Amino acid sequence: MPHQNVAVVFGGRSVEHEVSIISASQVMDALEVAGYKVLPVYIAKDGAWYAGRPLRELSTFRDPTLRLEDHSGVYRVALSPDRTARLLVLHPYAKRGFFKRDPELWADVFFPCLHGSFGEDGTLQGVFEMADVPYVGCGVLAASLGMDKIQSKSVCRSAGIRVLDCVWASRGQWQRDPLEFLKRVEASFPYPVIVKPCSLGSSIGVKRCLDSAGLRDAVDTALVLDERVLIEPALTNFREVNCSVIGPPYEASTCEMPHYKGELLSFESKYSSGGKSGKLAGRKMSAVGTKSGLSGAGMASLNRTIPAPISEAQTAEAKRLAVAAFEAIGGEGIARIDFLLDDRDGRLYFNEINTMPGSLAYYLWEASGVGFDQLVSRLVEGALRRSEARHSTQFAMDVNLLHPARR
Amino acid sequence: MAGDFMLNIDGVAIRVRRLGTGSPVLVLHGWGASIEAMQMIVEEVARGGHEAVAIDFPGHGKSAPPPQAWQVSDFKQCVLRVMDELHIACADVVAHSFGCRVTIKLASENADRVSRLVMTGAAGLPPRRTRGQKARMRVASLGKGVKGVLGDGALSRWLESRWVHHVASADYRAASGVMRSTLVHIVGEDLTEHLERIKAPTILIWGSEDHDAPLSSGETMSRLIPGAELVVLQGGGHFAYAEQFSRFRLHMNRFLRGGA
Repeated sequence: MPHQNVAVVFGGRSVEHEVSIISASQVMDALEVAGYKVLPVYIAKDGAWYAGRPLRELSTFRDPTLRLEDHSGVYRVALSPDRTARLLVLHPYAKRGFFKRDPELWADVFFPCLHGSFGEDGTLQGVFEMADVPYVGCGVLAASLGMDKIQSKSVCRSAGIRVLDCVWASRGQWQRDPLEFLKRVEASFPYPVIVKPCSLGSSIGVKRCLDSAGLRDAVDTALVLDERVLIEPALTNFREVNCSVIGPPYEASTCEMPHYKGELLSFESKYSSGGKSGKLAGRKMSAVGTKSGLSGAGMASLNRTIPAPISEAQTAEAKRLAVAAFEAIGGEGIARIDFLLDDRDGRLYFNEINTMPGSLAYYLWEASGVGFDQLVSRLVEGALRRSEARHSTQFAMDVNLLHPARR
Repeated sequence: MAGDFMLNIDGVAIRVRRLGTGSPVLVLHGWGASIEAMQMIVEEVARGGHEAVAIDFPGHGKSAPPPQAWQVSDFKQCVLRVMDELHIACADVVAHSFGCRVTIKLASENADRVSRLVMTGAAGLPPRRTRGQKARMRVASLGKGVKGVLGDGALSRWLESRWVHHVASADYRAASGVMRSTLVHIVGEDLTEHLERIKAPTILIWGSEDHDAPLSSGETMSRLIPGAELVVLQGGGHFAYAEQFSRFRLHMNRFLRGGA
């Protein structure tokens, strides 16, 4: 059994904050079953960092009047990019008891379980790199590429993976000349079209539009949520096929076919089946406050068919393309790659890549014969291997060029 | 063969549910429960590449009651007969509470029929009773004495019904007829001696707040069963497996996989 301390980082300044809490809770369960010691590290919505044992329990996050520092055993922590500090230090403003021992903040490995902005997008990965701590998952560039729907498509396209054409605009371009952009879209493909914010996950702001008025509204909404928007032709007769990849060495999981009501999988239907109580405006999504005693199922609770009911050849193709896409962005750790399967000609189109998939796509790995605890062990081991390999690259010279003797 | 069907075991109709394909895993429910209470385990076991074989014990769920008051060994014999009927030479077992009594008996007396054991909220050790419970037991046995004097008349039956209300356990009150005497037999049987004869690899998964089978029983069992591993689900009760299923299943899957 391993003995390493694993710091699981979750929450975050992201619309997927609550989803991250659920994913992290599942990952922490799996890590403990695999024999690791877990240090929960929570980033509140305001961006404050906390660490401590009570953050391990989902129930800590159910209280709306939550003041984390009032829990005994929860400490405010800060980040130090100084590589001799191992990233986590006690926050200068942290409450410290005169007689209390300071908390143990040592972590051998960091395991980010953050979805979306400031976590899945390369920003946090940059901090990990500066502090020189081993961490699970994609590096800076792969994470940023994965987050960016426009760039990930273009990287995949140049790797020979089929993607849907797209036209995109920045907020500035749209504000300067919306008509020019509408014209550009309409010249590129006929309605219906799909509008997507460039870097948001969980289908937030995604809209299918039938005419230019609808398109205008959808682009306006999308550009409130994001700085860039992309437009794709809408396939009329398609199904979704998802596949997870881990590595290196790269390995693809069994494929799934998610099911949903309506035309597009919306944020609400993704995380609050039925959508009755899935109010985005509410303080919490129902996914966190599920009434069932089971500790919030998150992405794992979505309706899906595993393995995906597609032909063997299509399955093999999806797996091959999933590995190719992950490799193309330079991915490490884990990802879930989502494809659109055009039912008219059976072609698979790369749709998007999630470098921190909800619930870590463990259900796909379990269906592939890899237990959740085995999955997290592999990811932690991969992180340690990468860190070791990194240390065999020399970044700084021991020679002091300013030393007078050198002159 | 998948789905539910009835098996006639020596004149007692037993409901069996099979799901999935792979090496067989018996799923045994607790007292007063049925297959339905274990359904999430049945599905998980099947998803994990095993064949789940769950039964309703006689007198439970859709199975017929036993012909007379049974002992734990009769239930064990019944499970063995079901395994014979289904041509299962050897199986893993996942059991809860009373199902664990049967499992302990089975594993200690028919070691060649079981491979790995997952037991949660296991019964089988004599309960450590509080003073109040001890007093109630004395009153209950006094009642039996009164019944002996009065015979089985209407007065005696009325008195019993009043008496039972005050002194008997919820399980006893819920049981009727032959199942009441069966319950008395079962609760009275101390299986401590059997524990050290278990050779199968065993994991005990326990709710820290289990009031029906306290964690101290789990600790004792993990000491007595050779090589047994005890996992505590913090905050979980007697049904911790259901309350914290996402944790329970990770431990169960890891253990059934056969890894360290």
